[in-house]
Amino acid sequence: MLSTLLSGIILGSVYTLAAIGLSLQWGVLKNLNFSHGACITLGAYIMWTALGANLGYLPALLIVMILMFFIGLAIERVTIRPFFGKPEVEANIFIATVALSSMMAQAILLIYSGRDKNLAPAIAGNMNLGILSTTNHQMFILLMAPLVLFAMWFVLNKTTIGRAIRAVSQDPMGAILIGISTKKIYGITVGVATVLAGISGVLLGPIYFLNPHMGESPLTKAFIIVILGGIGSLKGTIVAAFIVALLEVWVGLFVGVTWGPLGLFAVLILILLFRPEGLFGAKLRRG
Amino acid sequence: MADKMVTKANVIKYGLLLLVMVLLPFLIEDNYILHLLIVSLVWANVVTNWNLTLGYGGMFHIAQPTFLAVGAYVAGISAVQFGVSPWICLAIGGVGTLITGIIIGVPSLRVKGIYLILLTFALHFTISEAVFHLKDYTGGSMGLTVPTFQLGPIEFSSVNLAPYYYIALLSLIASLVVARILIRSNIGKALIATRDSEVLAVSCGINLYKFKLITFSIAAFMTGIVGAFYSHYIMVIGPELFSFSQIVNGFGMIVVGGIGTFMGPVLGSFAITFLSELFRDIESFRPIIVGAIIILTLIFAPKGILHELEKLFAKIKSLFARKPKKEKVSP
Amino acid sequence: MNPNVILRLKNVSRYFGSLAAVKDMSLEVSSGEIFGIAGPNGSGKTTLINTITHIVPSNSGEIYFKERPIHDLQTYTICHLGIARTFQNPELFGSMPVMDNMMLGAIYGMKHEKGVEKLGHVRNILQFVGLEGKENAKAGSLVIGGKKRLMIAIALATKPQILILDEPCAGLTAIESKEIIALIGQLNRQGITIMIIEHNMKVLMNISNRVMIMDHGVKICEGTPDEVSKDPQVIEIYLGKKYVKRETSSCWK
Repeated sequence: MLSTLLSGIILGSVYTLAAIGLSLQWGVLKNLNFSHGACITLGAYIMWTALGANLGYLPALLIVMILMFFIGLAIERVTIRPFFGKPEVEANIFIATVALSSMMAQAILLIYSGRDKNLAPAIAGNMNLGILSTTNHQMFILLMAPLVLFAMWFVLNKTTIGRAIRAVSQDPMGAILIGISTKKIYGITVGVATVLAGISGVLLGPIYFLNPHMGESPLTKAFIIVILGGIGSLKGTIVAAFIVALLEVWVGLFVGVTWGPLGLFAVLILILLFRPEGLFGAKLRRG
Repeated sequence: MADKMVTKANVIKYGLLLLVMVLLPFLIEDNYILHLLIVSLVWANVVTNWNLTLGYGGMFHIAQPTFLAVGAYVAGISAVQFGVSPWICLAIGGVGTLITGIIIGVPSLRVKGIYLILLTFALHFTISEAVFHLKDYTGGSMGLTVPTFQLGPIEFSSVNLAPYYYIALLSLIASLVVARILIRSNIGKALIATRDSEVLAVSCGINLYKFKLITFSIAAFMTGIVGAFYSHYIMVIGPELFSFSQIVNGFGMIVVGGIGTFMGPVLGSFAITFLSELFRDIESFRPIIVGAIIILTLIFAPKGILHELEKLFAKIKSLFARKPKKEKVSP
Repeated sequence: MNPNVILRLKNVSRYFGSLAAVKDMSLEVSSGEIFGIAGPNGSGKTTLINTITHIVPSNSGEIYFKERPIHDLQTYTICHLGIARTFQNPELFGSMPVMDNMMLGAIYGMKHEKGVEKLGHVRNILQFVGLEGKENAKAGSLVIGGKKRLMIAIALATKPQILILDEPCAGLTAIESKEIIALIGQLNRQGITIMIIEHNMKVLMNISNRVMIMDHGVKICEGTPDEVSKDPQVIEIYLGKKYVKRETSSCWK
């Protein structure tokens, strides 16, 4: 029971990273990037390539982060920016990013072949924490996730760039008036979100196998988390991530893994029916 | 708003098109081409309904290809596990998909559009997983072998595709007619108006939720029927019906044809299906190519490639029209 | 309780995060009057209208239309009950012709009135607002004056009992403003209660029976135009402290 709780918490940490990226993008760009899932996959594969070239774990991770940032910039440039200011922005961004995700998944399939691969964790092996036994990798996640979250909090609240991002998310017109280049901020936001996606992929990789579609399931869960937490609420996203992860693990244990997705889906419907604003979102109704 | 469809030119245009479509099975001997035509007709049906909700109704989602697969599986399971006649399965497929559509639509159409998108993503993921887990009914990854239609002396088989062709054609026409009626109705106008100003729409008494739900449900029902047809046509259905590339292909058809145009997606369906066939050798690059086409079309030809071609023709026509006019100027 | 009260707000509040856009607002509008609302930019006037029509739900408080609670009803239902409004920035069905814009209002907004011949009704309104001849023009192609008139026309097509106008004269020339105000006066004489937000104080004071001034989401003052224009707080908000004369009287009763 306790080990299930631990798995849940660890899974929750990873989901948080994936979902926070989505939430950030939504807050700033008011649109979602549906290639986020493919970015999770991509992050894992780039890591695999880097490790395969015998780079150390941390240098490899650094390379993933840098590459993912620039990939994020490219994604914004190609599938988001061309549509701003033109009619049907949301429809176009929606379709374009969905198309891009398929392109990316296929490209990964072609480059790496569809066979499942193993992604080595930071530190292999198991660990004993008294009555619990866990893997080193899971401990690594437990360490990394709060670190990354703290780094994000720091950047958003204590740096100029972070302040600019927050300004754009609150009032794009006002931000322009005080000289912030919204285009640059949009690019950076997608870049950061993509980095977060990449890191999630790297952390998830050793738990599941690598395959070109591995990002889809975490993406769906990230969507559920963003709904449950309330779009735009970072705090809600974190809480929701853990709820979803714990639910997934718990349902898997007691009811069987087969009913996991269906159960989650039912929960989603119930949320939308009775509390669409999520746990912490701005109230859509009175009371 | 002048009814663009019922002009003399259009009646002749579409009448001729219909005639050609009806005669095709007699003119074409190659069964493979007939098969491609049938697949095009099926997908034209799917994207017409998708476009109804997405292009006209402003509801963004990826549910339509999932609805096709749901219709196919509901019909297939009814036929295989419960021995229901394929003809009745068409109705069952429609109803099953309608119920799915309502389950998705009721909670999400009341709130911001993003929730519909997210819920349809979740639906896609959930149902494709469910297909694997409920293998006793669905055949899991092995798929399901589905019986085909029977009607008296008419031969329904993989060598005689004509009867399937006509069912597919009829079903597409039905979808087009239903879509047309809906768009021209007050409900349709209200939905189209909402694209311009949702705030004004609700302020002058339009119950958006009700209309969106009606449209979404109708689209789901029609797609379910053609999905049921598809499973009795193809006779073997499997989880690849739920592959994400179907979704992107569908988008390709709508975008190339023109989002929110009436016949655009139909033509887009034929274009994409046949082009995919032409480039079958580079099949593995298809998602990348279709994806790129979608993005480029959205950026450079947002009203659809068809629209750009029409503009091109109009330009060429005007170039020829100028010369004689000069002579006609009288002092 | 005044039986003639058509719209009543009781302690209505609306928050955006921790910012109170409307705080504890209570007011009564009598049937048949013209009720003006003024206040500096950002004082919450439009948000107030939005809470009445449920474009943005209020967070607390009650709203009654003819003694019927409407604070929990959807916008489209509120329209059916007889409340119509226009918008500060032109909101129209821009891609459709003027006629279609109005017919949509007539078809969907008149649920509470059966058997009204819609086409005739709409044509009358078209003539009244001065848009005849423009039936087939695309709404988006009208000039600003035309757009403002169309907005009023669409609202009228729903046969409202109370018409709420949000800055109907914004962006118009002095002559155009005069015409719109004359229109509003005529509507009021036909029995429609009017609530009007207007920046132009002279215009507002001239036409309103009673006026309310808002600032930072709170009611500063309410009374006849005469009473309000003498209130020291109001003068301070609009003109600055030094204009507050010694002999002013507060309009709080």
